[in-house]
Amino acid sequence: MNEPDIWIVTALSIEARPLIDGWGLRRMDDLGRFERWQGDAYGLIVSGVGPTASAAATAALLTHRASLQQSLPLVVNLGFAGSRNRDQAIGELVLVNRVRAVDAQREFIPEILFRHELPEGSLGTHSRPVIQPEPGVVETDLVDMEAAGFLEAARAFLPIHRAQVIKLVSDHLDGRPIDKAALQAHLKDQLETIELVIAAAASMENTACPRLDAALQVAFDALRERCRLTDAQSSQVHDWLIAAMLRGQPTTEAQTALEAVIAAPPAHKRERNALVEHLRDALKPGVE
Amino acid sequence: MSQAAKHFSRIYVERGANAYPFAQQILQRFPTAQRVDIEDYRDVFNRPGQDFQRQKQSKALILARKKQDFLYPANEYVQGRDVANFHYTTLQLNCLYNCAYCFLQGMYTSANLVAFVNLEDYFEAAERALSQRSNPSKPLELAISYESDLLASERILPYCREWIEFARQQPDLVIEMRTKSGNWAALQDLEPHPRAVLAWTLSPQEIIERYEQDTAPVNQRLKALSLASQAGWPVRLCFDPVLPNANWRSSYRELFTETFARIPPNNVVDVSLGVFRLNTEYFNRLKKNRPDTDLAYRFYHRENGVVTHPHNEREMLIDFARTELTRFIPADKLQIWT
Repeated sequence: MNEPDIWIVTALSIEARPLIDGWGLRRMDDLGRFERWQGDAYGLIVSGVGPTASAAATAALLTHRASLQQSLPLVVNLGFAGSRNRDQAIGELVLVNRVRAVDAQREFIPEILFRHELPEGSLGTHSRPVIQPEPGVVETDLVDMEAAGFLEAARAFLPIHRAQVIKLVSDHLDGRPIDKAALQAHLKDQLETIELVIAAAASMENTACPRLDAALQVAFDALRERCRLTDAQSSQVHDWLIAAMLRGQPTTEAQTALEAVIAAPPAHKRERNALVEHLRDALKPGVE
Repeated sequence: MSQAAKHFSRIYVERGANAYPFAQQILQRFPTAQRVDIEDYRDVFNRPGQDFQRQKQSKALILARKKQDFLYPANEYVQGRDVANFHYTTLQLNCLYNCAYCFLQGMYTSANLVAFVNLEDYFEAAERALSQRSNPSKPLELAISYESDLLASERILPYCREWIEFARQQPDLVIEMRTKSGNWAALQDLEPHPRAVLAWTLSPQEIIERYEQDTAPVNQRLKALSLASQAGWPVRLCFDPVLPNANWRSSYRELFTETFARIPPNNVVDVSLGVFRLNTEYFNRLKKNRPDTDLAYRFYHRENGVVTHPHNEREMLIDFARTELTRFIPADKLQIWT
């Protein structure tokens, strides 16, 4: 059974709960020590607090995904963040457009290629909680403890536009205790908005390499085997077939050319090389 | 409906770039764009894992400050290597268009547009190069749109205008702006300048439709170059690369005939002619970034670090084009790049 193509990475169970309930996610086997939840459209993993935990959970998830040979997922780090800006109300959602790994002094710029209605902002990832910071300590709009780790791990596996960060403003870094129930209610109320943003991000698929159609692939595999093509020759013939396909040459023409060679496979190297040249002429990969 | 963001709905501004008047001019043109302040343009432009073609559908603008290497001398891979005092400069990285054979998609990992806004530093460097040029009896020739198409984006990034005005004050400077646009309107209010060469790359319409995505149709380019020439601007024609598609001989013959019916050969500074050729590393990256074009999968030869047509094909393409072009212009006006 296919797994969902959209995965959320949260640090805390209290961030995860409104999503689990709202999307009807089921508890699956843990990935390492990370709790994993899954539904038809969304999956979720709970990383624990801190950039290292977030990186480890994201890497575990994406390693697992790679083993499934499904399409590349979209991963979203979703969770709470403090804001130094009192104009940003508690409970407001922010799509993050710049992440600073404060300890490592590194920048991560999420790739936002899609339209959306959320306000955007910058975020600094700290490895310790930031409470009542001195002026100048926080240079970004928001502060969290995960996003930089999440992005660093995601980038080892995915094109950068397949990893996004959405934060919900949880406090104003003033040391007041956060109201967990109220924040969960905010997340629940804005689930539809979150879904819209995620859907827009997910619609930005990857540029895919062209593939031979099924019949031509079968003929090509047979050719490679029967004629004992070298790796270089296989790669060349494959390229010429793709070129013919992209030029709009009928697939049947190429298939006929391959089948003629397969029917009378070469007896020795020289004959094989001549056949490859013959194929080159038949597929016209050069001057038309 | 596509959910892709509009081009330039996102502008990254490098620290310090904002202060330049050219940057202010640009920002004023995009009042609703999402602005993201960044430390260094390379944090965005050189990110690993960018999807070049995805970005082409939703280009971001990056305003940056060039810190060094304002002018580059000719080298063995650069057109102009045989011209005395030739230099090129990169005011902008990437262009609005999306040509299938473009070397930029092999050179850069990003399709976003970087605009360097510290024009004052470029002008200073040009003045230095002018005073130090190796052959003082000849002018300094400077290609200003070498890694971009400046005229295509002149409405939003008015580099050509700024450089033309700068060139007017420099009697020993010749600048060249090369384009595939029909955007003559962006310059038509300027007085022509005899040392600002406008160069148009021309291709048959079927090549444009197949390989020169988003560029102006050939008729618009011919109209633009004809108007520029009539107004008194020096113009250069570039048939580069000549691409051998079905019926390529008749397509190029028609193009040459149509071109010289629109512009008297005497009004042309020179004609540049070339075939597809790319540094091997760039070619490999192009193939990854541009998997949807048959140009990436053709039968090529790799010679001395360059991927190009086999020798016999090159000869055939160039011989044909040379023969046809010399029906209109003398051979000494033809510059051939293979």
